Amino acid sequence: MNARRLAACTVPCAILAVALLPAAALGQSGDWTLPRTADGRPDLQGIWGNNAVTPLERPESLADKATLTAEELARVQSTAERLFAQDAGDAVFGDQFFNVAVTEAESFTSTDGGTGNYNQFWLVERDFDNRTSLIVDPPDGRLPPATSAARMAADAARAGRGRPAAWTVDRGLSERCITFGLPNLLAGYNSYYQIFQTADHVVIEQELIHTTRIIPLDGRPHVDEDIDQWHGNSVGRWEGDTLVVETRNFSPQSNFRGARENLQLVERFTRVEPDELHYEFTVHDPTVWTAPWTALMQWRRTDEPIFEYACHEGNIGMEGILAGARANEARAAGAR
Amino acid sequence: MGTHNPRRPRTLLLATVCAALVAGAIAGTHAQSTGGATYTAPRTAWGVPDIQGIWTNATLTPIERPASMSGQDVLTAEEAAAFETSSAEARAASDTFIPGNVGAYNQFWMDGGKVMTGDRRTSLITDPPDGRIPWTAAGRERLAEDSAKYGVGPFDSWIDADTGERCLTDGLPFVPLQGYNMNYHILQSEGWVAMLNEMFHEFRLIPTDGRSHIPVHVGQWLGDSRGRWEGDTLVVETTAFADRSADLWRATWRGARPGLHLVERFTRVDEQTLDYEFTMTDPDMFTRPWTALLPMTTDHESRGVTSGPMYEYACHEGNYGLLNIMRGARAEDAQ
Repeated sequence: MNARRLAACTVPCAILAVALLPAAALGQSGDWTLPRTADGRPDLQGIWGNNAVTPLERPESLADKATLTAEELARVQSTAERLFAQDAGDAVFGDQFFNVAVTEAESFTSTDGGTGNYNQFWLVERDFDNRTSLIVDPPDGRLPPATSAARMAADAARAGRGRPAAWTVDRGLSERCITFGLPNLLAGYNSYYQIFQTADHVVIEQELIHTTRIIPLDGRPHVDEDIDQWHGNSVGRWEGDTLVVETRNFSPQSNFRGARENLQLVERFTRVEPDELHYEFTVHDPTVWTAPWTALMQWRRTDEPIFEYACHEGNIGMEGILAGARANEARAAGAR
Repeated sequence: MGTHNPRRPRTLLLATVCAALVAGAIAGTHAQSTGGATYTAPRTAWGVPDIQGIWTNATLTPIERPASMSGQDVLTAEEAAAFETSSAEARAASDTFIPGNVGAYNQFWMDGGKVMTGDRRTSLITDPPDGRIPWTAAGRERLAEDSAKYGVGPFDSWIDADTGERCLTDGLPFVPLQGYNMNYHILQSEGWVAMLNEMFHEFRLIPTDGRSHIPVHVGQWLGDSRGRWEGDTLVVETTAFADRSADLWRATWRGARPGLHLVERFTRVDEQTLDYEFTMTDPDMFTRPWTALLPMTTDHESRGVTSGPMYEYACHEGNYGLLNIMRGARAEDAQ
């Protein structure tokens, strides 16, 4: 339903809607009334999935194209079906799905170099819509330029990647089952959220690593700035029919695309249709990006339950990584 | 060894202090937590009792009645006061540095209950009347096996550590065994109750709309919980526990296994008290169902524990205990 509706919307229409109208106006159908809780707030409760193929940044090949026409969208969709149905390689994660399909490549094999990765069995079917980037601001759908300090930090991180792991802490936060970070962009893999509301709190349970945020809505201030947390400290409020959540006090070890303790995050949740919730977030960190930027995700409701999350249980990959690093060390020592 | 588990010595300490108490046969009753008979819990907008808040179940009262207290289910006010005083002294004494012992957390890190339950019971278990877990022979054997491994090893991999040390869970129900982080944030929405256990940031989202349980074969660490209101009591039934009997659990009786059936009852008996009663049934492990009652409170100060908001839970972050345990075990292997 969503793909059809958006596909019907022309380019100027979509740009106008995103730029000028409040999110609530986007796509609200005429005969639907926003359900409300006992205390009169919009009822956002339910389980919402983020499985869209839309990449964070607009591919360079689509520089001036915020949306695809129905024909272009159909072509991307059929290319994806052709490529990934034949693909006997690893699972296609995140933005790669759209970014490969849009090239209309003849063939594609996703492989993780040596040992391989999850295959497609572990991922869900992705949702298609006609947008070409999640980023709605800047209008070119691309991240604003990074600061020079952030570029240097990213280079250093890249150079360190693949370095042998002395211990678990040398691997990333998600591999260590700590967090996928906030905001979480990963679509198509355990990318479900259950929202639960009371009069003075909203609870957002994320399937990945069962990260649970209990966010007060009672006007209390942020906790003291000395208290930093992986997911920062969030406080929420209603602005009309939109739930607005502001988060700061991220830890110096938190890591959202290089943004750490200076990250200020504003999230906006708006239910626009019975089965669609707009999740819009703005990140501001002048130490990393030269301007704030905003992305919009379209979450779809599901009636399926979220089960308990198992993080690497029975998965001895970490043990294998560490054992491999030790074996390499022993080999190098023997060669000397 | 011992660095990896600061909690175990505390349990032993408690038993020792308890044993040192003057025993006296005093008939007791399992009074519910105090609360006027006329109290009616506030209601949510949709008319069910409001049990929301950040609750703690911290207490000095042990789950099981210590052997030395056999036959005495309640202490006198003087005995309870003496026990609280001697426990405080024991806590202070435990911070003494012992040469050659690698040690555990010191009291700075602990936040255990400083007082007994208001009714001064000698066990949280109310049934069977002897206040002890009614183990089957097989259950007792498993308990002995687990106890023999505890703090001893083998430590061939981190999966040899108990499930809590592995930052997974110590299991259900809610009991104040670990001596810190014993806080539970309860929130309600129509048709749902949410509970966040500070420890392991364990989150339960419990439907109260009458839906059926998930299939038993799905099996989860915390099982599958369904709630309902019986009068002013929230009754939560949990089944579909995964078979995690191959794992080592800090408390053997809390280990997830398919035979386990748990019923929890939450009743707000006064403004600041939530009675929490649970019944464990598992014919393989217990000769009969057994029940314990723990009053929770929002008045953290009255239990001598930290109050305030709950922060993000960090499990062993920046703690190299497990690495050192493995390293120590490999050094021993090499010798």
